[in-house]
Amino acid sequence: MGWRELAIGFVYWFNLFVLFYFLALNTIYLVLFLVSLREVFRFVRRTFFSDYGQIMQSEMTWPISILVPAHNEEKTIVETIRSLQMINYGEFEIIVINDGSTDGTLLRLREAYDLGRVDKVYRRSIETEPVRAIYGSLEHSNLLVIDKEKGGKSDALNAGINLSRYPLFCSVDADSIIEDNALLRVVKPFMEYPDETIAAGGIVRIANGCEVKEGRVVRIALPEQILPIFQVVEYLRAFLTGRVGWSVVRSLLLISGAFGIYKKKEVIAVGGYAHDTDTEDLELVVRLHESMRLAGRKYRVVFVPDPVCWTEVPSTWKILFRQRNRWHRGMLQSLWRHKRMFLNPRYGGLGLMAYPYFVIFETFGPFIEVLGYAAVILSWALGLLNTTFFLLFLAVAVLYGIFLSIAAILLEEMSFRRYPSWEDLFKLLLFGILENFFYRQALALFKVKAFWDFLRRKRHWGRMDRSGFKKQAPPEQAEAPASR
Amino acid sequence: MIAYRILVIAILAVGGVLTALAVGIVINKARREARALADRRRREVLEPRLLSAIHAEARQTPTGSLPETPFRLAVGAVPHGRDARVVEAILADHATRVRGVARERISQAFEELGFVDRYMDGLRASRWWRRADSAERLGLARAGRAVEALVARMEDPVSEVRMRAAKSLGEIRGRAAVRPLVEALARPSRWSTLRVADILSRMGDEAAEEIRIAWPRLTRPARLASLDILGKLHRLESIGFITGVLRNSDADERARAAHALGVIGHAGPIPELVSALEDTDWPVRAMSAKALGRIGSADAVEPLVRALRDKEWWVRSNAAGALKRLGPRGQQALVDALEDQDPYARHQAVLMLEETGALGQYVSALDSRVDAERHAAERLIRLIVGMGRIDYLGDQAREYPNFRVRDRLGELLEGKA
Repeated sequence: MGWRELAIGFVYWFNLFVLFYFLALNTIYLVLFLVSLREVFRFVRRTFFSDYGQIMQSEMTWPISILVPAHNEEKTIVETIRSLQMINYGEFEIIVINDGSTDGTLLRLREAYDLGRVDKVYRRSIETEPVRAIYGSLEHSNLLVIDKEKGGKSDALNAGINLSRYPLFCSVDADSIIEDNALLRVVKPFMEYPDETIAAGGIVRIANGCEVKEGRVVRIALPEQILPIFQVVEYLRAFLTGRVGWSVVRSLLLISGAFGIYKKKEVIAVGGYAHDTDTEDLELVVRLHESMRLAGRKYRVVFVPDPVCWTEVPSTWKILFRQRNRWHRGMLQSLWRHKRMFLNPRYGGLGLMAYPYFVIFETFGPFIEVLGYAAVILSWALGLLNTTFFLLFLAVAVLYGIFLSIAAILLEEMSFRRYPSWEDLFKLLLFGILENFFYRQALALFKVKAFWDFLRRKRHWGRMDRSGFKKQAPPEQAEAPASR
Repeated sequence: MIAYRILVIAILAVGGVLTALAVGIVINKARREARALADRRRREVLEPRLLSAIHAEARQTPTGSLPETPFRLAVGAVPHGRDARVVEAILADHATRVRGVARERISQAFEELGFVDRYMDGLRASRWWRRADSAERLGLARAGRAVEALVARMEDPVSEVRMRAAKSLGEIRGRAAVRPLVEALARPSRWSTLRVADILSRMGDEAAEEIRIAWPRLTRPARLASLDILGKLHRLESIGFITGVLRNSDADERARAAHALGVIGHAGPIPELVSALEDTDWPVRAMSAKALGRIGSADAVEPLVRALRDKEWWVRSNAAGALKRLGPRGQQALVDALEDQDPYARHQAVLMLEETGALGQYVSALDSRVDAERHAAERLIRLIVGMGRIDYLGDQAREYPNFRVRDRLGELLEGKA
């Protein structure tokens, strides 16, 4: 058999494999979309009624500790805390963890809130870097600030958990904005199923393009730049048709670090946030799942599609690459660490559905996509390309991709309608089509590179230029946003 | 060829669905906006007529008496379609804003314009959200004749419907509405308990009395929730009953009873609460200390000072917090506690003096021209320095605006004086 026959054989079988892979992946997407469709409508019907005032006023609502890890956030931290203080919720405390900032983060906080040292009980339920001091405010009795040695975001969150008073804690990124009623909405699963619910997360939306005043999003609009608009469509698809679906089948593996609520005692039981991973949010949820399944306990990790957290996303390819590289590396680290869950019936639907999906489609999907493009070029070079078949297949693939994006926009339009203008709607529809032509391929390449970095055990967070929510604020250097 | 055909069919199918989706999104938005616009315009016409019917007084009419069907006259007939939607929205908006006679007339409008009949039918719908919606709206309409139907909905298989029915029963009030709500407290979901408890908390005497009657047959979670409700209702008649619960065998019930007495805030049960400071279970002691602070009687100072030495941190913390609330006598007790034999009591006292700002006042007094004040401040600061709790004082020694205070505080911290 000559090389040409070999190549023909390879291309033939690879094409066949890609075809089945494509069918399987898109069937899963379709099922997830249908499940999400039903769930989102159910959610909208339930929230049609006005419960939130009652939750807020009730003394029986779970009090929450809001943890805000901050490293070099002097330009935004005061505004972030101010917006958190305006949240509609009954009883809550805000714990800012100054994680070894080298700028004036602590000073800004001390000046703005007249902070003084206080003698609070700091239980070392989870080991952390040393705490230098704890500050409290006479005027704002629900505000505490921990000043500690630098240990990273996980370490800061663990310190916050150690100091927190309440049974639930909410992790919030220092550069994110939580909507006024977001906590009320996301705490509802804990009220409905108090014994079972251990974690709940809300949707993260993109703040680029929105108008922010005094820590609140006052006008919602799509970003002006092209790259963030692609991400708006991508986030809608990921949250409304992805996480909602996984949540329904009780296999949600990720609650965004930008905004999630956890039951403290369960998090402490699994040792808190892990230090040795690039995505501490994913790792924590996977460990919670694992610990609950092993203990044979009935539990829920819930995604609530409406409580909104606004965050800024990268507006340049360079920063987007860094962000996605870290996310994908983190996912690979967690999948590798918990590989015993793969197709393990002990872990129920998680081991038999979600975990294999993440391994087969999220881990290897980008490779297959990139290899597919390479195979097309190779086939063409060898004169093996059946142009008609290729073009027809490409058309199906692209149309299906567009269908999924448009379906997510449909869900948004029929439920939450956060983008009210006609211009924004047409932009969303247009970018739902356009993202299939370059953006998705670029993301696949980023993930292949992340896989390579994972194999090389490379770990870094990367840095980004963030413009800040205030348009007048000068660009600043900060770490890539953690939220997703 | 077959593969081509399949692909072409797939393209046509996905493309068709896609086009339908995109067009559907646009049409849906256009329809919604057009409908909202038409509703707004119709509302501009109907709202003034309805409002004048709601606020009409008999003496303002030409005949000197109100027509039998003022609302039908106002909108022309029993409304249907858009008019029904608009009229309902107007009534719903104003129902939450007005009280008294106007509120009663809104209920009358709901009845007269056929909405109550429609909602009663809706309670029997096969779709759960229609039942829930109808139940909620019956509460908004305060439809007294719907009590029986709503009580039946308290057994609906869908919790959302049960909760809406409960909420509406709370709106309608009356003895017949209270009883099923008290029974519903026993449901296992915390969510359900919370919402029913909140509804009962707003219902007044009838709820308090029904809880006392139902107490023997209530489950434990229902009893705990009931104690919270009795506290929130602030009825003095409930004090005797709650004080009796302080003698129950269940520690959680005793703790919740102490909490309820604190919420009511009447001085009557102080002796019982003081006795409860010696309870064998620390949650009862902690809640009693907190309750004594809430009641705010100076008679509780001595027992609370003793509770500062409790072996449980929460009891000590609540006792110190209670003393903080007791005004000058409580503050003086905290200052005295700085010389207590018990290190835990001293610790809590410092904490509370910091939190109340009293320590800050003593620091300011270091520059006082009155010798007695200055000496008292120096003495207190020496005691705190002696205990090693100098974080706050250290900050003040660096940052206090008055340099004389900073210098003196620095000397005291170094033990020079």
